[in-house]
Amino acid sequence: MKKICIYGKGGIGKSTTVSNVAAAMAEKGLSVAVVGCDPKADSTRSLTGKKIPTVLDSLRSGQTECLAFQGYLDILCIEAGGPEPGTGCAGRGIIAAIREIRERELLNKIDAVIYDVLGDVVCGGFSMPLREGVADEIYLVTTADFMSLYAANNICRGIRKYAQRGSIRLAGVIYNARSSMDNPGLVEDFAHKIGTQVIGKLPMSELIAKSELARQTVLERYPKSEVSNCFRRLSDMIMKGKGRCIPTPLTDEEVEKLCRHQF
Amino acid sequence: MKTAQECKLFGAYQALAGIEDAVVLLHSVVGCNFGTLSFHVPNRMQDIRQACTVISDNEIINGGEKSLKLALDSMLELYKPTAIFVISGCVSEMIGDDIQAVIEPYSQDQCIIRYVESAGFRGDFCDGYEHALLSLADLMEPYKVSAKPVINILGVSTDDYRAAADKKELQKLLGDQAELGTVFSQCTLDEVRKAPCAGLNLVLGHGIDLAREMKYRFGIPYELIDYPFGIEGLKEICEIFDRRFNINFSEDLARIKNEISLGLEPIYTYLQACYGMPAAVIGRDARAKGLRRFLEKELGMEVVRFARREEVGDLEEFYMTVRNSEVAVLFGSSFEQDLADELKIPLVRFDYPIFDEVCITGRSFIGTSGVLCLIEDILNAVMRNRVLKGALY
Repeated sequence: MKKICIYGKGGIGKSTTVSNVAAAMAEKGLSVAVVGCDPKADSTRSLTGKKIPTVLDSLRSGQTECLAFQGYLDILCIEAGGPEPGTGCAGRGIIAAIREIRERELLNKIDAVIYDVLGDVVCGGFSMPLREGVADEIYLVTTADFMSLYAANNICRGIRKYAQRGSIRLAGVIYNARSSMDNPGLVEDFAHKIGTQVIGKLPMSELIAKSELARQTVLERYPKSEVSNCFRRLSDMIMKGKGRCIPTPLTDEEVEKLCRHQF
Repeated sequence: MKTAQECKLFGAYQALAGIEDAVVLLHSVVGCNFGTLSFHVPNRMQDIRQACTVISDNEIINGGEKSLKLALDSMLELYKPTAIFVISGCVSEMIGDDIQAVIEPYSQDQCIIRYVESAGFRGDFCDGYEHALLSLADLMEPYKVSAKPVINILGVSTDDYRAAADKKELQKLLGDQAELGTVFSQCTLDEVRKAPCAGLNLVLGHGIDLAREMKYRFGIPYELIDYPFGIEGLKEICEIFDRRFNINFSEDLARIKNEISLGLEPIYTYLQACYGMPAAVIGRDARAKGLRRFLEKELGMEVVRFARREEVGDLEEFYMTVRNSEVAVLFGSSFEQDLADELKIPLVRFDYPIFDEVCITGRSFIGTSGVLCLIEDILNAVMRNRVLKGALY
């Protein structure tokens, strides 16, 4: 089973990437699962057309019969969920949810599982997919903005920590051009410096926004579009999974210096 | 590494659980409840006024505020207490439960509810004890200082071994000349409120923060003393009374000395064997220092190894110094039993926690009865010991 994890700064397009890549994989006949690891629990909305009950909601209510839901092209959709904003510990929630998924063996007959993790490696909970063989490969989604690259670099620090004593590896950077600055060269430069490569480029397209409003993936709503093909190419690259590495994060100053060069 | 002290939560519990008409609510995991309770049960099994929110994975993930409210409601209904002290633990502080926000909507008319932050990772037993005791200052009301000299005692923990009997002995000593005011924390909430009517706070090592606060708020002076083991301990208290209130207890002291001498007559020969006997003492500040004074000055023992728990980083380091000595008797808490077993020497328990011995006969540590009981304990412990036995004959 291919076990993939997508990290990146909040709002950078992780869930969009995850749902569309999952759809592309499913188009090829693979059995795919998406696990949303964000308390907002909106990772699978485009695949199911609705907000599904989360694992933590189910554990709370005691109604635990169904934790996984079938989405577009039979993609198995699971949302970890989390506490009410401002209370409790969402990180601990991720740990509990992943443990529950494991204990129920929900992912046993799956060819590829993609974890969509909130924002940053903010605490032990959000680093859970990096540990204990939950995922094997990490992909970073970033734009060419300084703060996005800064966050990606910070995530690399977390990946490096766990990669040094486990099998988890950084497998590439996904460039999302949805930004005020389109500078693929900068992102390629960044990827090279941390020891990896850009494995896919996603264009800025209103088709993505329209699909999300319709609660669908781009592949479902605009299957013949160029954007859909971008996701298909990205999916192929991920399935090939070349270039796994232990990242070498930059210092904060180095990230700043790199970004200043574009002006 | 072995820690020499319990965590902040235990200190807070020891400061507050002794307020007889109040209850303690531990907003923590079940282990904190079990631990505090297991140290409490051998001392006052019939008096359990504590509950726990028993934080589990669900509370950690979703926050423990709902559980806290539920527990508060249940405690109000079941105990009908005059006060509830909500003592937080590590987990509730780590996940950031807004405990004050949960408490605030409750009316404080019938029952006072107070939150005492006690995360174990934020301090040790002493920090918890001082912080919790200090929180009581807000409950105190300005009272006219009583015409008859009144003293408060600060620094007695809920589960200090034989503390209730010691309280009675102190009252006996003061007789009609002075009054024992509030003994923190073996008192009622009303006694806490009225504590400012005292003319003096006697601080037995701990409770210094509250003593300072009471001096600042109510002008009550304080004296820091060691636990009044033996005649020397009582003498120190009597001297303070003489100095502060011009009350002379010399006749009472003479009487006590005489009673003790008479009491010891039958075992005088054994007592002589105590001279020069090497001992090790480990305990909390005032208790350890007070006992050392008694052992050295009154029994002629040699305390060759001594430690205040507050100053011990790694208990094992202290134990090593005991192993490398000629120590024949060890004075400490129940936790020192393993070391005593290893060295095949007797352990005399005098310091919290004591959970492997009970006392239902009102035996004290201070006053006439206290001195006799303590000497009895020491001699019996030595006589029962197979290795040391011969030393007394």
